[in-house]
Amino acid sequence: MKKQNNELEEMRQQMAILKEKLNAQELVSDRLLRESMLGKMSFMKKYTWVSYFLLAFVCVVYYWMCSALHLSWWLYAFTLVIMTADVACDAYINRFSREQFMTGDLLETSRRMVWMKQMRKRSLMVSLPMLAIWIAWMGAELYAG
Amino acid sequence: MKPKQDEQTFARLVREHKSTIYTVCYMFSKNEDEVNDLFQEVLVNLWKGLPGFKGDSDVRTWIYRVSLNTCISCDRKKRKRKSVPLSIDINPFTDSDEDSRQVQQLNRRISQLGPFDRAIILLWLENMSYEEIGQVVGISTKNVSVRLYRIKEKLKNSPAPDPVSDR
Repeated sequence: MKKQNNELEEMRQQMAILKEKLNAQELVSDRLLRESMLGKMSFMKKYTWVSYFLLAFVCVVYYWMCSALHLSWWLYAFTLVIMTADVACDAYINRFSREQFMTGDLLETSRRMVWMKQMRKRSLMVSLPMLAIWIAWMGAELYAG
Repeated sequence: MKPKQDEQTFARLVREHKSTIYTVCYMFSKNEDEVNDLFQEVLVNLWKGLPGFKGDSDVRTWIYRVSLNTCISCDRKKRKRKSVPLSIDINPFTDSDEDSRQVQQLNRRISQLGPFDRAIILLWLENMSYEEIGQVVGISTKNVSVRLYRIKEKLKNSPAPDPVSDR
């Protein structure tokens, strides 16, 4: 017990040393503050916007491909449906954005992270088989065409 | 609050609590780059959260909450943005004076713990009451007491961190 108390007391002293060192440092520059206030989008938001753009891009390009390669419009529709569902699912999962749970307590944050991971796993369990179906269908149409 | 007042409040808050923010980021990092990244992430989240901070909890508690949540949930692999370097002329990771070695030992000890336990012991080392710790973390005061006891036992029973094999 005495040894444990000494160890903890040592940790407290080490913390005090760190704080003393940091208090002597400026750490925060005006530039750093300015960059933070610019409110740059987090990676997940950028990822979501890129997904939307990619979906629109695929709609156009795939339409052209279907025409050029004489692929069925059913395949086109299926592609659009699964891509839209995937993007919508991502947007829903990431809807619980960091701003929302940043000011919550740790337990809430941890629970949301666990929830997000579980949701991503579940969406993968659906999207991978869909992808397999799409590849097989595409392959069959290209072979037949 | 007008935008200019927001900026002044933000700047004042960050400067007043810079050591707290850095300490949390340091205890969740392995090197200087990670600390810089986390520090800037925390600042971004503080800025975004400032309008929503109604003052119903202590400012210090709020700062801890945002800092710890950021550090725990930040995915380092995904962060590609180049961070602004901190205005700091010490390096708590590599400096070799006696004080820095003490601080590095603290970092190694705390790094043995999982993120949640790391947060709890950090708050305890900052002399926060069990009730305050519970508010930040989201568990009851009794639960804080139980968890702290287990953390202290774990720290006591784990081998002393090896400075040579570190990094």
